[in-house]
Amino acid sequence: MPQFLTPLFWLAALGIGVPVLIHLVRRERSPRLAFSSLRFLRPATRRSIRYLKIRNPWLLLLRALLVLVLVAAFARPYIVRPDAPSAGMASSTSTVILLDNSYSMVAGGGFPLAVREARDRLSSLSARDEAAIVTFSDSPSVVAPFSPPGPVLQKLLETAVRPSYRTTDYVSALRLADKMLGDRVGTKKRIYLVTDLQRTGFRAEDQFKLSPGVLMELKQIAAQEQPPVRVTGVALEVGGTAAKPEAKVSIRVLRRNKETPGGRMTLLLNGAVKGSQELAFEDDVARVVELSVPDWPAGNVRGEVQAGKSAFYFVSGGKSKEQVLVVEGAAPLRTQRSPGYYLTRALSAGSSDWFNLTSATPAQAADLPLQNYRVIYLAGTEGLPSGLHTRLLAAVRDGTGLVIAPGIGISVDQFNSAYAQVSPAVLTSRIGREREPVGVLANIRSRHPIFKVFTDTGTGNFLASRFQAYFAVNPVEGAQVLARFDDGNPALVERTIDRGRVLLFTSSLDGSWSDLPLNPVYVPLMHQMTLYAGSLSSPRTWFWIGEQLPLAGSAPAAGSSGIGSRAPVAYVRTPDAPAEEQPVRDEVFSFAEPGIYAFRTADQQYYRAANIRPEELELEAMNADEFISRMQSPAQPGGDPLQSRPAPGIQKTDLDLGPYVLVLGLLLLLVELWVSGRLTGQRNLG
Amino acid sequence: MSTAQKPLRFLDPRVLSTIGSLELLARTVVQGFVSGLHRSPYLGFSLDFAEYQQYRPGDDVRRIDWKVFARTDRLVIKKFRGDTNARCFIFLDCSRSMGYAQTPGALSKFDYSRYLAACLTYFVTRQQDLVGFAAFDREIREYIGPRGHQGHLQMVLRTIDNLQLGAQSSLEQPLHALTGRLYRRGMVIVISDLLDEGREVMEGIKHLRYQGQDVILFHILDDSELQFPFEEMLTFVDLETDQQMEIQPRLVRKEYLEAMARHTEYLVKECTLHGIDYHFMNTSTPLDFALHSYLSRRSKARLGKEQLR
Repeated sequence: MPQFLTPLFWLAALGIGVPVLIHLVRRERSPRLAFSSLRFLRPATRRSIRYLKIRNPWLLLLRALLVLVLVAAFARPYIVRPDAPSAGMASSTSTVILLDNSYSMVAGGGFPLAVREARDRLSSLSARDEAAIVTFSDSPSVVAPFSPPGPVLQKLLETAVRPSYRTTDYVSALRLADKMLGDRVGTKKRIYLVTDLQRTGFRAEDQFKLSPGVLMELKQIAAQEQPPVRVTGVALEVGGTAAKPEAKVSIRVLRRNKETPGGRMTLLLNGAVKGSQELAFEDDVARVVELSVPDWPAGNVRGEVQAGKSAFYFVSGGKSKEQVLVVEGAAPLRTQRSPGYYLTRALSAGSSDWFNLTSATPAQAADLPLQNYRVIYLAGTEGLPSGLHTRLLAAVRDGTGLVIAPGIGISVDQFNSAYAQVSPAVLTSRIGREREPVGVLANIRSRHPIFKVFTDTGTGNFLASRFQAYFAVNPVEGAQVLARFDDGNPALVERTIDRGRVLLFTSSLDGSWSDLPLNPVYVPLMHQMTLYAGSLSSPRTWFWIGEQLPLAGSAPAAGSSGIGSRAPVAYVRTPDAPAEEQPVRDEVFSFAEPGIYAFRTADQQYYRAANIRPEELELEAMNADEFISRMQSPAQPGGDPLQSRPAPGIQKTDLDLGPYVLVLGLLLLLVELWVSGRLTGQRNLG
Repeated sequence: MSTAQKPLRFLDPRVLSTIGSLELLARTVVQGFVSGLHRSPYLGFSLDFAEYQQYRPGDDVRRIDWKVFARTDRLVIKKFRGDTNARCFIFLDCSRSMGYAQTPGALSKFDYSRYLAACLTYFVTRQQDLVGFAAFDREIREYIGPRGHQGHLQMVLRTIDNLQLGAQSSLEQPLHALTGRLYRRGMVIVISDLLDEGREVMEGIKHLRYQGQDVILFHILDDSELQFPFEEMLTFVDLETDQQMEIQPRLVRKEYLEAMARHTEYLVKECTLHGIDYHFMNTSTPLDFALHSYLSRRSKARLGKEQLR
């Protein structure tokens, strides 16, 4: 049945009255006949005129048909063919089974149902069809590419599909499924989405549109149960004395709604119950519970807060703040800030106070024990007092990290002379980019530990910073360029001296030569540079599932199994296998499950905790229509399962009849012209 | 073609119209009529003509024409000029409506009527009767009093030949005028399409009848006026008034034919009522029919006179 893209154009069909009127009203001259007398015709005259004859009825019919055909052509008729099967695969289907394995499916108890639904869908497919299995949480994972829906896929559903503790991201999953279907030719394209429609699975800015011809079938798995109470954060204040430490633990708790009973909350430290309290929310849905622990354990503390079925893990102690020294030169003329102003602010950012910062002038630094600092910044200094260079080099050799940022007012010759032994590169000249185009960081080594965290999380817009000046440098032998400006000049150069790392930033870290300090990437970049330069582990003690922990240590840990081409960066015991030490060969570690993790590197052992993101515990589901509307597709009300429709308009697979109808109209026009021309000729001859 | 049809071929008006001379045409018709008289479909008529008369018991046998008997096995007696003395007046309608022909170039009512008038004139003259002629439209256009000499025939035929169509017709007035001119009784032959108010037509004709004239009325119409065979939408133009009327013939045919029938019926009824010989002829009717009609009427008139004696 044809449909019309512009059905309102059919109103123009009223124009069919025009040829009818013309044929009726037009006073086409009838032939004259001289007759003897009209005497006997007069009585019939009125009646004769009343019955107007339509001249040339066939021509009128032709003209009416022409009007209708032209109107139909402009109404844009098309026949919906959702599928355009090719020869040999006339009615086969390619289905991507998108199975939500985020934590909300587990918390709501719907995951087994979802797997069963996926299994049923596989069973319903015929031998000519094909299916792919993709699980998704905060990112999609292809369990099985397109394959016949046979025992193999069924087996994979049983064995390879596991729930996760991660959050939900619909757009990335649908995007992948859409892309996979885009490669299929000559089949019906379907997405079978099995999910709990968790509202937090869509971010506010998310928008996605299925490709033409792809239909999504939605199977909603309602949450079977919802946790009444969940812990969303823990803060510690450890005080007391070294002999008798005590701490106050602040625990943030949420309940599902005001009617939900609070229940009981228990605090465990190193596996022992240290406190318990009945949760009383009164009229609130959220509250902070404070528990005092008078006998805080010494050393590393592994904590756990239990509230109902919810548990929150944290780690405390065993690690002091890292000592960082910022040696900054005098404030240059016409600048309002010292070279280290933004740097010290960045390193102080964060509630954890990871770093113990010390700011000093070069003269003051001469009196400081440089070897006690994990990282030393030289910001805007073109030289150090006599003897400090030697001590600095010795500290670096011993493992102290050094970050040099020359900046404004620095003499190239003096700098090179002062830092020849430690600098990763030799300054050659100053490059001014005051005029357009200004310099930008265009090329970074995305897999380097400094930048990897930005790459993995898709954050950090380095291109947003504009550099008006920097030094052209020649890296020394053995140095590596970690980042470059758009003109190819190095921006960040690294050098290893014995156990220490030296980083040279060829521009300034203040606001004199760039607006980098004003860029949101500045703070995490400074943190990452500091952590890397000092080979430090992240000061954070607990993370969300899916976050990554940068791992310190440049030397293989003792006990390396030697398996694989890369030596392990660290070893870890995970919550699900606490007795087994597993090597980590990547320089970052992703947390996949909640619990306490034990890390061992070359020079340290520490614990970290991972928790499920609080939003994943919000099991509120979207309305299915709302979900489809977020897909930018018209919603189809009712029905189970719900299906999306392709966007309005003629799809690639539809048969556009408009051109054919238009051609027919043109042919009719030619015929009409010929016929009317002949009739006119006949009248003239008559 | 059968033997009976051969003579009629020469009386076919369409064939006659190819004859250029009206006199020749008339002569052809009359002679053909006369020579084929014994095979005429109008056998049974008591035919009298100027030269011969059918023998009736009691007639003078010395006047029997034995040559004719030898040729035709019919007993006829010769008649002398002095026996006729009939006066015949031919009254020809030359109004513009008479000029109608279904198709251009076809035989119009006017031409047919002229042929008819010419034939009658010639025949009447051969009958030793006196013939007069008048043409009229809404008034008398031509008038030639009844005479009998040879030169008179030529004059009448010439007048008929030169006759042109006139204006709008109106029978009553000219007929009244003619009645006023005819002082002696005789026969009046009116040749017209009678496309006028029936009452007005009959008033004029009855006036002639009231005067004691024997009236023969030849109602001349074209086939298309009788059958109204038109199909296409046409703009009919009245030949006399130039009035135009766009008409769908199929829608008006029935009413037209009914109106025409009513008009004709009225004329027939009135003519019958008043002893007027009404003869309907269309332009395809052979002209000898008119001659037969004339003879028939003439013989009735003579019979009536003899009975009165």
